[in-house]
Amino acid sequence: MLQLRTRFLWAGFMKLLLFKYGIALLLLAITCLQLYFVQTKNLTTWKGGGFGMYSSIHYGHSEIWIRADGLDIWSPIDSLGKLPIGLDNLKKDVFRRPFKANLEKLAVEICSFKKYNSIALEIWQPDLETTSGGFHKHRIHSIKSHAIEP
Amino acid sequence: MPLNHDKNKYTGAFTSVKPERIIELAIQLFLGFVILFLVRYQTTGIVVNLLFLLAIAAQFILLKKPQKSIGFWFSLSLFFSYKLLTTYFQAANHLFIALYLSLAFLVFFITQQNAGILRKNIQLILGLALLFSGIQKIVSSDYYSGAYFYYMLQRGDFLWPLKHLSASFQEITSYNMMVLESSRSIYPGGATFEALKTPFSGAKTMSYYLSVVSIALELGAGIAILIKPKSLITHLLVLATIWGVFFTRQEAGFLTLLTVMGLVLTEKKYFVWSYLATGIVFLSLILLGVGFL
Repeated sequence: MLQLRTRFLWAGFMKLLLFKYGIALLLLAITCLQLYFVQTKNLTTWKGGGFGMYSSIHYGHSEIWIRADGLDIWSPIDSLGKLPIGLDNLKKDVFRRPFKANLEKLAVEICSFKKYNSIALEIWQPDLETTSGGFHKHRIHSIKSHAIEP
Repeated sequence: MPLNHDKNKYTGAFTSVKPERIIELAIQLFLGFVILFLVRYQTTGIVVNLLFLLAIAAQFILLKKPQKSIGFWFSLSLFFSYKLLTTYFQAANHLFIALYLSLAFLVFFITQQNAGILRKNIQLILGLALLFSGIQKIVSSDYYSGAYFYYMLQRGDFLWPLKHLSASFQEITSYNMMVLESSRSIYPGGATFEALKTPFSGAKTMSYYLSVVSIALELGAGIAILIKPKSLITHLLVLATIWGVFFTRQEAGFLTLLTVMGLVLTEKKYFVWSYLATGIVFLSLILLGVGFL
């Protein structure tokens, strides 16, 4: 009888704990996950639910530049024209999470879409520390050259 | 005697408002946000949105007050969970807050409208959200140094009301945007672009101080909510944070949710009015297209 009552009280206590602190624990877990992705997968602080919006420059200010088939000319990714939905989503994902594997995935997809043999890819961001001499941008990530297997 | 005391507590001007009335108002404000969210994002996941709308419509037909039913809050929590699981890396922060709020109201109705548990949940959500927002800004060197604030000021994205108040601010920020836009067509390697103009003298110094003040406000409000959720100073800090963020960044959607949470945590009539007015203004601005969602 006593054991039953203890079990009942314990269940009630756990339920109360879950109702009172469950949502806060979920928030903490999601924030920790966001911080993990920011550290390991270059996730922008704007996304992932860690409340890091406006703490760093928005990923929309970044630029992706490509150089295809060993040409000397770099072109902005928008010069590719309208992309299929899947590729366009991948492009947006690279802006949000510019880590190596994601960039390589984008390079492969662009090559197969445009029938390129190789491609180099770079992501640039504006320099926030402006000098009187002029405005600069810095490269944040790049893939030197990506060759597609025949 | 105690009965008279209770009566006075709820009827005098500038005194307390009944908790159940405050929660009712907070729910209505939150539902206003949900409706605008559904309208704004109708193009993404239209099938799920439609199914959800059908479920809501059915509850409004079958139940007298659907916003007081567990089923309603369960379906809303399910809807936001689905949205987050399918668009985790794209979802904005207000979608996460919307899920936490739906869950908090779900728990409130599961626990037979236990206002104490609802307040505890909202206190933790609001406090932790403000705290983490402040911490992320402290660890970001660009924000802490004021460089990010200054860059956004040069673009005219921050302190947006100045665009309507000062012709020279409008002119300079438009010029800077033109420079930035044209720079996007030139390969940045080794290139030096035309320098951006400063919107007004002392803008750089002001950016630094505003960055520090905004961090202090967010951290202060977060800590105050976690320690003293009912205090007058706490709610002054929360309201200052909300309006401060709005005048720098127009984020009306996220701020409406902060307003809903502030409303649940207060009991003083003047704060209830302030939060309500703030929430209604933000929802109207979203409708007019001035505020972001």
